[in-house]
Amino acid sequence: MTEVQELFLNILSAALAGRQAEEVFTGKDFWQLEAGKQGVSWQELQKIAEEQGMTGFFNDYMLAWEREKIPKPLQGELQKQAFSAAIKYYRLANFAAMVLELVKGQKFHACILKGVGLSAYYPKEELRKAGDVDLYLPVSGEFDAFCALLKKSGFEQEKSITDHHISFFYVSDGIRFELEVHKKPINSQENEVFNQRVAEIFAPFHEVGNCCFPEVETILGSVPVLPPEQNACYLLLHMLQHFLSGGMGIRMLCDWVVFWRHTGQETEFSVDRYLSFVKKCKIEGFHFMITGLCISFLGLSLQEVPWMEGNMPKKEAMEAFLKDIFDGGEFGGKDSSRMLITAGPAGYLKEFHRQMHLRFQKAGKVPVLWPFLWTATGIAFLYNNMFLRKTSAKRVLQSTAERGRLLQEIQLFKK
Amino acid sequence: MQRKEEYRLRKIGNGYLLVPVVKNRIQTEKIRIINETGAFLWEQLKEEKTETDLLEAVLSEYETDGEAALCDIRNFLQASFGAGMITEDAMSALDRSDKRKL
Repeated sequence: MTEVQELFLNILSAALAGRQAEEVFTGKDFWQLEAGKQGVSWQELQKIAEEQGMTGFFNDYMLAWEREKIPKPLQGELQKQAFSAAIKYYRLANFAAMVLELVKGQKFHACILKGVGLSAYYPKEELRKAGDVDLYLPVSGEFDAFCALLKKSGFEQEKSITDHHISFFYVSDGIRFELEVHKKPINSQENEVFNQRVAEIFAPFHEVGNCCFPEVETILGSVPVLPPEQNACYLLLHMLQHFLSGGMGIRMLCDWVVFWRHTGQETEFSVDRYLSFVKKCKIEGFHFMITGLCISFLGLSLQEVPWMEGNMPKKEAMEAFLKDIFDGGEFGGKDSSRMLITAGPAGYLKEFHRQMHLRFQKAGKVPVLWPFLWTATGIAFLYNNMFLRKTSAKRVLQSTAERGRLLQEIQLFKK
Repeated sequence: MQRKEEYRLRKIGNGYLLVPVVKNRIQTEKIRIINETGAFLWEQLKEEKTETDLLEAVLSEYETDGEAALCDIRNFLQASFGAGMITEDAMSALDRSDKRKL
């Protein structure tokens, strides 16, 4: 980890605690790495904040607590960016409220996944970047009916290559808002047993009687979210899904910190139940890694997650994982060649086959068509690399191999 | 005079936003940016206050002379009234106190 990355994480750690850095890092010369002293510049810090989708949150903290550390000419620009992030959130919160009114109006059973439901746990909810609204409609039959209602209400459906949600967009006052309506919490992965186990964890919500979703308070009132045990499991699975494709991001780690600080301390939260979900999905290694990173670098304490006692991952493994996050930026967006992480050549083929199924969800059920569908998937892969991702297939395969080595090195899914 | 309840004061960075929430929607076009003194006055207006109350509060909080403070208060009240952020009584209070000299 570079000095500037370390400083960035320390700043986030103080910001998540809502306290001045000197208070959080007592006994250390926190600003030792201050601009100009050891080659750390504001441009570098801001660049990381941008790459990680954390500009609003980062700027807010710096302006509120450490303004004198920011070069004067930059202060106005940082303030403008923070205001802009807040106003963007307010617009999205309005959109989420509108969607929830549609849900309530027709008595559908739904809850918000991450997004505004998670922002509520931050010291200032408007400063967590939120790009879209994710709505989970688990009750059989309600998903299709709600999608039909959206179309009648002026929403446009978008093409999406995934089997867990349908994407819509809605334009209001010239601003485009995106909505993902989920029938499953995450995309199917290549491991069928894993998919089955995830499905079992969320299966209770298929029954109307089990859909009593708890609510969190936001600036626009209460928002339904998953019960805490499934919510924690969902957040972890969502991180895993991104890690196994392009990459995660520091913001997801921050979400994990605020979630445990907030919900993790509630008396009705059964940590044992959550841990049983993690065990069931066989993702303990990933779960310890994520939480270990939050403890080591983002100020989460062992008192807040006592089950981590004796389960901290090795320092080298955590640093390798963190490097992967910094190298990729938010969702791996910094490097267009990052699409996948897999441990060997068999993984490539399985993922290719899975992509074929996601792309051709109906035709993919007919094995005799597979050779044609594989060809079409391959052509789409090459086309997208060349014209959309502006990278080459060779670079994508190289990047996958590099990240595959990381997967073996850190042994996240050791049997 | 008193502030309207639908406005929420949010500190963002080193500045403040006044965010109106009406019928479960944020009226983004009516969001106002205010400075620290404006935020201080807004907090004071949580309860019914006269212009004199506000002036006293400002003078006890900030090192400033009375004339400058009164000028700031009036500017704030006029802008807030114009934006419909404080109750109508404010303007009449302003009119009354306009004639008064410090």
